[in-house]
Amino acid sequence: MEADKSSVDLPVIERPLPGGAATVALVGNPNAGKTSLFNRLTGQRAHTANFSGTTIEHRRGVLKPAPAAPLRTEPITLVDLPGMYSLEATSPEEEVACSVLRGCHAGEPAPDAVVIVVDATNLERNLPLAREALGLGKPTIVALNMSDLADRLGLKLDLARLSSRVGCPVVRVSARTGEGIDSLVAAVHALADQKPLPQLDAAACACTSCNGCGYASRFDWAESVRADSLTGDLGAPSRLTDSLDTVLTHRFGGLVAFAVVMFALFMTIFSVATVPMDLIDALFGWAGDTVGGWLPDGDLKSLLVDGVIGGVGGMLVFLPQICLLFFLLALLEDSGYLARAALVMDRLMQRVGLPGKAFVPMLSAHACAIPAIMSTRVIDDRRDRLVTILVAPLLSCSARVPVYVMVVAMLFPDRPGAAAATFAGAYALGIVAALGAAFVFKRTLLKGESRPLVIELPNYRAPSIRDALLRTVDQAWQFVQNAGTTILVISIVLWALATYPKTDPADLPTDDALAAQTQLENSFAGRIGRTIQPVFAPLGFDWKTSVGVVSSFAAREVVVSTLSILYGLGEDGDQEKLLGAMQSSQRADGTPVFTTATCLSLLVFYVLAMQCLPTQVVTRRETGSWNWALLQLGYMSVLAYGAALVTYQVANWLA
Amino acid sequence: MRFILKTNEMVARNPLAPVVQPAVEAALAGEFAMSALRRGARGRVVRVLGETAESARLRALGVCEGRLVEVLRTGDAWVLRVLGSRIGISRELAASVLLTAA
Repeated sequence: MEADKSSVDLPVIERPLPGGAATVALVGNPNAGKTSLFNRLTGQRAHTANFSGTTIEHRRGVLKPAPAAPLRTEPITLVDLPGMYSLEATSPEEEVACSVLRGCHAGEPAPDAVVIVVDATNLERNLPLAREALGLGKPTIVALNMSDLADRLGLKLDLARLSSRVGCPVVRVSARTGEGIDSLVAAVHALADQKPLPQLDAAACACTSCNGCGYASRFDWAESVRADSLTGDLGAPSRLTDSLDTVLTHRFGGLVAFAVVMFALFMTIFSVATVPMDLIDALFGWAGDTVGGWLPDGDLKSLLVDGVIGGVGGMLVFLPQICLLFFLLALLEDSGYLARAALVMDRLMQRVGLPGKAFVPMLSAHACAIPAIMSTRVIDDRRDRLVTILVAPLLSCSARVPVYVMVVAMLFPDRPGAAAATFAGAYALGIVAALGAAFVFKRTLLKGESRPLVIELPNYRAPSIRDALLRTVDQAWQFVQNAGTTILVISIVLWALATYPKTDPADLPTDDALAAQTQLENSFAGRIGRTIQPVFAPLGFDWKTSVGVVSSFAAREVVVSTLSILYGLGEDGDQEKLLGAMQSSQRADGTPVFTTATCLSLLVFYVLAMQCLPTQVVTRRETGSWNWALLQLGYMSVLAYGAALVTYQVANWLA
Repeated sequence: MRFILKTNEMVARNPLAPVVQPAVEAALAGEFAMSALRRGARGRVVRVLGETAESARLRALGVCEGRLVEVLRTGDAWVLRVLGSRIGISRELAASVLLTAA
């Protein structure tokens, strides 16, 4: 270790500066179980970060202390590089992974050592990358993952021979059972302690293929190493997968299986998530009441209870759904099924110019656009990914359900059949609009050939609950961090708009609900609603609906409670009373406000309008620019307005 | 008829279309495009035509000179066994892989 530079007398254990610590890169094929192994090697001490100057994420964390030397003071940073097949990058993720590995990515330290994760059941596919990575000339270990599975399948590995052919130490591990993790930790510590750590010279960056060979020779080499070191039933690892795939990748069977899987996914989300959602709702209601009880009546109480607690609660209530979606998608991806879903959907998605991989994000958007937009990272092509992000919020997310319920109940109070059809129609409209918008974007702004599919179909395996949970917590936390602050600010702004200027208490009716109604009418939000009402008049909206549209700018479901207040029912007015009040409301000339045409127009507007600030924040983050978020807001607003206008005018004309 | 029109359309839009001519020459040398294979058939890769991102990805995934490929499924998309595991590729790419008899 380095000589102690500080001349302190006491034997203190120093925490070295981050720059002084060794960095070890974890390299491997996309399906080698790299992230799972990373989680084992770091325990809980890891976080997600972007590679500097990119939106490409990775996990980094401190390597567990070795059991033999638990008091080691110099931590080793482990970096989980994006999975890749070769150092000849074919995607932005691979490109960044390569440049970080080579030490030529500005702002990222060059790794001092490399751990190559190799799937023991699939040496031929994994070893070519190992060969390339070894060519970089850094201290390297090969971690032979899934070796427990190889044992169970009756594959016999000659580690000594493998190690001598590869040219570096080979450690048997299983990320699933934790077997061999301790010896790998010890080996990595030993590797990082090699003195001096080899420094990568500048010339190595320029030299992209030091070994002077292409794929063919690496594959030949991998095949011969496999033949040398592995004996047993070579077909065993893929036998189960092959038989499952006869159905799951079948032209029709695959589509049916996919429909079943997705149906089960949504049933789980919508049935299981309601329990924690109700809990969170109740919790925030309780928090509001409690805080309200402590504070005297006044603006501060109103700000905390209605603005902060109400606003944050309104966002967090969707968190169970978001988490559950993240969790189930992580399980599906880990199991290997998502690659099949992309395969069977590719044929259909190509028609709108998107790859099959775009389908799962678009389907997820029916629960919530936020996890959907975050899961577009699987799409290789940047244009395809942008298009998917842009159209995802058109699909009917669960926050639209309260609005649909309200409008449909108003349209068809006594005709369940027609109500169900209208409800389904709203979903269909969202789907058609999203596919149509994708089609248009792919032919105009983000022009590009639909890229042919090339995807590995890994062997199926039992997914790791632990890894999926870790990933869910990570992604949910990112969402709360990113959207949370913005939501808080917007909640406060909207609260202020709906609260000020205050109406003189002397002018307020004594009835609470009526007082709230008068207060909102006179507030900025009420005035804005009245002012812009002429804009929404061609859509058939009266000023109250216009206030609802304004107030639901940041979160669409708010419209229900706004209308409830505006119709004098208080914030939690029950659904039936609200519907009664809306149905009986009349214009100045005595005609009803909510005619069939108005209801349809309102429905169409809410299907197509953006009205979700957290989604906009996530779009900005994923695209790296507010421009795309603004484009999303812009085109969806124009589309919503135009479609609602046509709906209202046509429906009126027909009636 | 509709089907044929559609196929032509796909070829016309296919970025690999200019390589159809070399493919014809290749046939004279005992090579054939993978698209000629049926389900269950095998062949050894001679080369992958084209210099697109997809052809690079095909090579990275093992569809590269010298490899044995087995066709597990045809249609849209194709499924191949190569380098110890399966890969799925769009139908149009099957024509860009030249094989010889295994």
